Amino acid sequence: MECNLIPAPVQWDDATPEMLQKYRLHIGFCRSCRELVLREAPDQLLFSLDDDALPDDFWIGFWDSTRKKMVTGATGAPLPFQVARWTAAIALAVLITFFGSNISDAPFPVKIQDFPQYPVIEDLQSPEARYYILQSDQKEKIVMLFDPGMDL
Amino acid sequence: MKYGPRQNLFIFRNKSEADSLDDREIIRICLTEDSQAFEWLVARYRDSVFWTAYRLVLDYEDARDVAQQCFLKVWKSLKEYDEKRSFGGWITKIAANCAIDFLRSRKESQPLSETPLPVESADRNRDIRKIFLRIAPLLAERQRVVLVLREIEEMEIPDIAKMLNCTESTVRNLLSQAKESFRKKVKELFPEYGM
Repeated sequence: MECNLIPAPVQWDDATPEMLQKYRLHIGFCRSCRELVLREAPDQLLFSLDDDALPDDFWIGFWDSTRKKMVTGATGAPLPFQVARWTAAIALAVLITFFGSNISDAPFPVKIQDFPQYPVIEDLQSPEARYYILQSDQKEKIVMLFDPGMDL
Repeated sequence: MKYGPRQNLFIFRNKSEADSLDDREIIRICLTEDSQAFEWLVARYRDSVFWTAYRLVLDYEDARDVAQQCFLKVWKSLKEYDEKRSFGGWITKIAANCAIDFLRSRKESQPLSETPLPVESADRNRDIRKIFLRIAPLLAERQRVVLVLREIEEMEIPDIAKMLNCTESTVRNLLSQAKESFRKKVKELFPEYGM
């Protein structure tokens, strides 16, 4: 430090807020000290980054959009992961409670000949293929096909 | 001093009149549900809120979105604002919290946009601005967040620890690591400033 009025910038981390303020004021007018800080501990200059005014163009539409969200109560914030996870878990539990109770039985294996109305099943000849049916009432059936040899 | 709707119309007839009011006076008017008055607070703080957000998320568009989230939170929480404290400090903390939430929700860190913002900074700060923009994306995210909050936003260590849900000693460690990395990278990438 050429002028010797302030300690080496790497020692500033241990300075009290008052001393730090003094050092910062000093480098505001002492060019050689500022250059030394820039060389030795540039992080000590981060405080001097200004919040420069952005051009008005940058802010076009910002207030209108903000005001709309103020009125509708939208935050525009993404749903936090924890909230999203719990919401999904609760929604799943509700679905199972309400719709799961209407399903007469758990999925059970069925034979191809039980479903002659499904030509796709009839066409498959794989011995390893398994078929399952979910039947919630007499009218609706969900048929699931598991075939390890199926080429998708 | 109380303001009625009619007085608000008079007060906010032009910008210079609004500029003459301090933050607390504008907030009192906002609390009468006058969203138009809030526009003046937004205009007054949008740049500083943007820069706080930008230094944390390192993306212009994201920082603009974070700034908007910050103002929406401020609008909702205005009643909780303690007039004894600086409004600038309060809004900066909200902006930092919004940016940290954003970083948590962002799965992958995005590269810093190459398009420079059309701002003219003072000559004195040009070097450090250039250095920061080059080095910040290279730091580990948590190190960068701590460095920005402590060294640029000048927040207290306990406040930073609270924001990041960690201990004060963790913040101190991260800060020390961040400073070390920052210095090393400056020497590496900006040899013109080297000894």
